[in-house]
Amino acid sequence: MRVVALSGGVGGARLLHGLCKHLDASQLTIVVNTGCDFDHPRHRWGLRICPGLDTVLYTLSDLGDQQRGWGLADESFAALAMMKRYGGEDWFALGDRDLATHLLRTQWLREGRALSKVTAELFSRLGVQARVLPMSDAPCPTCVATGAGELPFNDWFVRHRCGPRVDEVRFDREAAAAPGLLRALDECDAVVFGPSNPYVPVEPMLARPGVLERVLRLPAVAVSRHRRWRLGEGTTAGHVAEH
Amino acid sequence: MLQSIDGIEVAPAAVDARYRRVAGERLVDAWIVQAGDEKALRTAVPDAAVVGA
Repeated sequence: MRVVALSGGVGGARLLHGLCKHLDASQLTIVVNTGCDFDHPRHRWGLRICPGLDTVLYTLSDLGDQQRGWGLADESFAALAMMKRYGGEDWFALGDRDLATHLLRTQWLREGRALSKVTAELFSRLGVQARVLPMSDAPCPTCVATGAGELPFNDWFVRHRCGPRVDEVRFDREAAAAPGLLRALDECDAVVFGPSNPYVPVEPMLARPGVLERVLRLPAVAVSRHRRWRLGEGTTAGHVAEH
Repeated sequence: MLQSIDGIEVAPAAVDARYRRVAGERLVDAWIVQAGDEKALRTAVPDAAVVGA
């Protein structure tokens, strides 16, 4: 059975880890939200940071910190402390070993490689056999509209600790799906939704042109979030509702 | 205005409803939930196929 998994976040990565153990790598395509990426050259130390991809990368390679759910195990934060001493941005915690991922990704992207190619290379070099695709090669930022104005998702989530009340989640609907994503959906037998928040990360993936209509033609299974997970362990857990 | 479901959890029934709104029709054919959520989801989403984990 060929499966496409649309998932993200800490819980989603754990489900993907399980799927990788039970499915042959050739049967599984994992799609990851990139709407929460940092890609502004003047911010976050000039690095392209992909929190969704990195959580999956570290989890599937068994290098992730199991307790925190994000970042690498046995991580240190000396560079972050030095950055703080210089007065640089320090609200988004980048670990010392984690920095290697962001530096290499940023270098390869600046050399002109596509994010999907860079992603495949990073996963391969850490020994992950499953096929992992960013939802798009193009930037497609997710923002939240709040009483304090519109904020990039991670500014709201990390910098403001989910403080400002969310009126609306806004995300790109035009950037094309990454190469291979639509074909993977055309050729698969089922879609799996991970225990992820529907607003972020799932909806931005469904919003890629051509994705939703393909998913609707397929059997879809969803796995629900574990009851004991609390706000802060996931992403937008406390902010999901109809409007 | 977005409002929290219960402040701390994402109930599967609410997630299913959101997916239906996004898709314009039923998007999830089967749910795998932990046992405690099974009854609530069956009540809220009568046509859902639910498997208690």
